[in-house]
Amino acid sequence: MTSQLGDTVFDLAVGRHTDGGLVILAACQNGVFISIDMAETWSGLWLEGMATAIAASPNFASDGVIIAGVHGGIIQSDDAGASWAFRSLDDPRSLIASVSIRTSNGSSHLMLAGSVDDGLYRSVDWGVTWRPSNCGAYIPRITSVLAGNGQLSLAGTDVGLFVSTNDGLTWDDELAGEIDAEVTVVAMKDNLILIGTAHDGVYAKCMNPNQTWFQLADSALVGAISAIATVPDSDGSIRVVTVGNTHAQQYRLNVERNSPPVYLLRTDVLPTPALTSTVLPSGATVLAVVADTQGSILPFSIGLEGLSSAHLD
Amino acid sequence: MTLSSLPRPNGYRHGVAGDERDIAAFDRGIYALATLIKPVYGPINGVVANAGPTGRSAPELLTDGATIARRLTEIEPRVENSGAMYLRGLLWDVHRQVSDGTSTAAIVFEAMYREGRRGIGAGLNAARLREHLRHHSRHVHIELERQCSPLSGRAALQGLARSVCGDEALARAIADVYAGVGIHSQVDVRPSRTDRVGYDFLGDSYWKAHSLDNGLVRGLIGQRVELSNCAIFVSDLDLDEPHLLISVLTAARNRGADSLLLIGRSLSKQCLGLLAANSSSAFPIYAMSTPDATPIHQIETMDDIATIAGAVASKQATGAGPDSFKENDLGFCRRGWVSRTHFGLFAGQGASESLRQRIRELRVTLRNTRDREREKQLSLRLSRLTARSAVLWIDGGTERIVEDRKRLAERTCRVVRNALNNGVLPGAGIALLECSRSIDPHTAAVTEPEEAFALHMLRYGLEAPVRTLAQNNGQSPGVVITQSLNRGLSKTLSQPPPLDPVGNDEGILDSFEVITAAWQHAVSGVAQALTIGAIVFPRSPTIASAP
Repeated sequence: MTSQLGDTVFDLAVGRHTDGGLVILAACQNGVFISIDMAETWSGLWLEGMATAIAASPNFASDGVIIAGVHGGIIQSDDAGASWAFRSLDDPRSLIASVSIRTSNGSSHLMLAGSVDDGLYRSVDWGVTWRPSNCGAYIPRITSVLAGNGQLSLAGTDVGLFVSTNDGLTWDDELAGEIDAEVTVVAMKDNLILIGTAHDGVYAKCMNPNQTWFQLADSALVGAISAIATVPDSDGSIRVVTVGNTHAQQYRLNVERNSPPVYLLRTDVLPTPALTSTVLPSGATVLAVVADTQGSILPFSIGLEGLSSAHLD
Repeated sequence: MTLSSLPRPNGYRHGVAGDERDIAAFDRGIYALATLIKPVYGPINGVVANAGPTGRSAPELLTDGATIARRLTEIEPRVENSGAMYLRGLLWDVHRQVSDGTSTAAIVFEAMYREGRRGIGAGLNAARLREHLRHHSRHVHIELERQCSPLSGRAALQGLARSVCGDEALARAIADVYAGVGIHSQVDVRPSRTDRVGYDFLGDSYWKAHSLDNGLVRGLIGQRVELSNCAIFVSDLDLDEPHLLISVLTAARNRGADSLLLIGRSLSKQCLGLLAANSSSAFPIYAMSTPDATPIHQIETMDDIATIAGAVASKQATGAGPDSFKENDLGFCRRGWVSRTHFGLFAGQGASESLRQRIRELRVTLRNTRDREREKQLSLRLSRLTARSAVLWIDGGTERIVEDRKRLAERTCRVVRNALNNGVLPGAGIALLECSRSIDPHTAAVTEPEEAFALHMLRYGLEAPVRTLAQNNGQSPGVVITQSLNRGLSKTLSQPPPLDPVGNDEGILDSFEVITAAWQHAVSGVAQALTIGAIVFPRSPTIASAP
């Protein structure tokens, strides 16, 4: 079930439709596109230029909020892409590499955007105003951001990770323990932080100052990591799914212990070399949407039984 | 401010004062200053009104011991003045060292000194008393170290800030700021335009410097000017060679810069003219002095700026000159700003790995540094490299209130930083009161009356802050001390101390460094003052000029 979007895809996001179905959003060379039929057909939502990053609200079904990074600013839709507003960022114009939205009980919300030149931007008024937020984040080259639960946020850079414990107001590179790696993707599950890197696989650690980072994925096998998802297992452990350029891997972690044992559950070869991808927990199965350099979009599910073509759930 | 309300014995002209009457007058001077300071002790405190030299203007309301001591410049007659100035000098030393604790020091000093005088009056030897005081005061220091806990968590930060400034809104803002930026940060206190206490976190790195072109090149008149896509020439050179500046200008243009910031030691008139001729609104040029005063600090700072901006610093020490400049020596930042007194950089184009490595090395050096001044310098450099800066906005009204509030906020910030570095103690005099228990075991093994009395003096001094606080709150000192000792010390600092005038559940904290400094200065000052046997008056007395 491959779809030819026919455009270079920079980022993907997913949300739930009001009927419970999956909405896939793509930030592409020619704009923002949407698919509501598991990537079989696509329609343009915003076609005024290149979109480099995209995120949908966790409450997308009710609020319809999408934000996307475009040259020099952020575009935002509050009606599932029917209309868009442009929010300009500082001059000189920068490229937005990553955006993230956190909603919490509809009140405490946070939007973060990471740029490749000017560091981090933050909005706490549903995207009406964006302000630079780089106190302590001394590396301005942001590769990925995550507005996590609680007040914890993560920002990956070309040389390591910054953590914020106050909703992105200030950042610290020592809080989670320093790590020297080009971070490509960040993920979080409760107290567990996971980072995917360009050359060193996947690292994880709990937000515990006494614990050191431990490596999950072998970089030789997976290449640059483009997506990480977590699935809680019934025995209290966490299953982590990582997607690299050529392989998807699954691990089991016991995060209760100081040096969690890591078990490799299985490795699957991806059917297409991935340029960008996104994954999300979907019950006991993880649904992955992979886009290749030609704009081919391939949704598939990753379960304990292995990789299989995705279907509408 | 001069103190004229106290009874004056006969005046002295010059010569030597050494009889009991002279010493009593010296003591009165000490007690006069301590009496002035006592009412302002504690988070909910009184104020002291300074009527000023003429008494015609509105009185200045003073709420901290250091300012009261600073304002009190003379007491008449001269022998009383000597006593007051002795205590004043001691308090100012405490203030200079730790920015707080002057009231505690004054109260402990006065209590112990009164007892010491009583003992000497009863026939004890002052020199022996001094030795025993010095010897046994170390038990207190050990006990304070035992009680010391790290300052962590926003609530604890706020509790400490509140105990210093006594202002809930200011304490909350300071706690938020330091919970966000930590100890190695730049925090500027500025008057708020909205007349509200607040704060902003900044993400740029900035340095104090002065404008070499005096704002002439691009009309820099007081305000801050923003620079975009800025090329940076980093040096400590005298910028007096036009062909060096031409090379720099050409390089900046060639590399696509939209503005240029020159950093150097000085700028000649000829070069100023050259800059003015080449500066425009489309390509503004500014020249700022190399930050820092000493050559070693300048070199470190230049290397820091160069690392952030991806530049190669042109240093006199390495023989850099007009001919050694290369196009790639220029650094870049996405945005920058200059004012007459500072310049700042944001999103420097230096290599991330180099910046990270420099920060890592600086952190190691800082951890291993014991020298206070060096530590301060390294901390400031680290704050700039890691872009940790914040502005604390303070409210006010009149210019004088704003100045007072600014001083109070700055003092509180200094104490909070010290406490983040060195830890905290239970506040409101509880830590010192608890130390009185450490004195008791030694009373059984005393060898002479002076030792027994020294232990009594120490215990009395340790109780003095709680006693004063109780008096200021209209409570019975004896009852409060007994209750406090029975209740015992809050081991985790999470319990409210027995005396919690604010009435909250978070407790009041004091900086370990502040209380230790106040205690040590008070004890050593008392030990010394008790042995003063005569006072010499020069013919032309010099009026205290410092602080």
